[in-house]
Amino acid sequence: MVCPDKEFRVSFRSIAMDDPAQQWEVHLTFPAQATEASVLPLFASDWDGVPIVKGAFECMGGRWPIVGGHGEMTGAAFMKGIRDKEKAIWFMRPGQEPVPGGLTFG
Amino acid sequence: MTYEEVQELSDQELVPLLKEGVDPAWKRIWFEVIEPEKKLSRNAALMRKWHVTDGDLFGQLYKEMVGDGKLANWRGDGGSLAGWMRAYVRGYITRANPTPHGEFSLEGTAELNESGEAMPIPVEDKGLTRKEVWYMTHRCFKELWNDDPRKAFVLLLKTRFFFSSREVAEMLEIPSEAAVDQIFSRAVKDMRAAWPRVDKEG
Repeated sequence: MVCPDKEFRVSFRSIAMDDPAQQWEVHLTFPAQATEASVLPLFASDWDGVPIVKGAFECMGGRWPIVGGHGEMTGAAFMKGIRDKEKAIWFMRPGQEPVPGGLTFG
Repeated sequence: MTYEEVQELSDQELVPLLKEGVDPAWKRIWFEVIEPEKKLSRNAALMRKWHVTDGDLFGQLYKEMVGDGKLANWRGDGGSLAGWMRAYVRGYITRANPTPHGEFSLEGTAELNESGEAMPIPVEDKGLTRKEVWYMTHRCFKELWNDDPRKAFVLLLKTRFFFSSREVAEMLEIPSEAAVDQIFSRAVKDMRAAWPRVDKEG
């Protein structure tokens, strides 16, 4: 994996839930020139943009802890998920049922 | 406990919930501490200058208050909890200055390009103004993802971030630009094919 010389961010979003407190959004940032050795920051919030303080984001075949809204995965983990065609995208909050989601256009 | 219930709590009642990392309690901190500080014109200017986001401030506050146990230092014998935390947040912004002693200016560093801006991230679907079209697009995109996440990423990188085929190939380890173009064209075809089916399903 060799990313272009410009930072960009993709977004994952939960399905709509009856209880808005269960909804989530996760941004995955690719720093400029990111490679498999790079750290890719994650930022998790509800649909109002308020950070989720504790949870875990499951994506690309891994589960990434979220603390104070922040988490991270490596470029290597991202590419493994691409190669293995890992499709599951979930967010887990303590004491709650996992909520599924997907990659979005923005 | 809901956010509405948390809003009624006193600061002393709120502290234990913050220590436990209860979401609605920290949501209150977001609106009472982070939002007001980031809106102050001086802070907003410094945050823009030093590339500090509101998420960064929140993360630092959470780490210090919970991770480092500083919540235990609040005595509640003078001011409000929010006021006490706002002082911390102001400190984070001030200490974000990469040149506190003025050795050099950000504008003079070779690493910055002409604009000094990161690539703008699209936050809304310009042109996709109809909610139904937006919804349908995401339903079809979900089907594409379920078929092959790489296909979905190729479509996303080409159409939302305007990556060249070469950039896509290098990022996603696709053997050639021609192969990227083929995957992209197939992805578009699959999205179009899915549309009437998804529309019919409702």
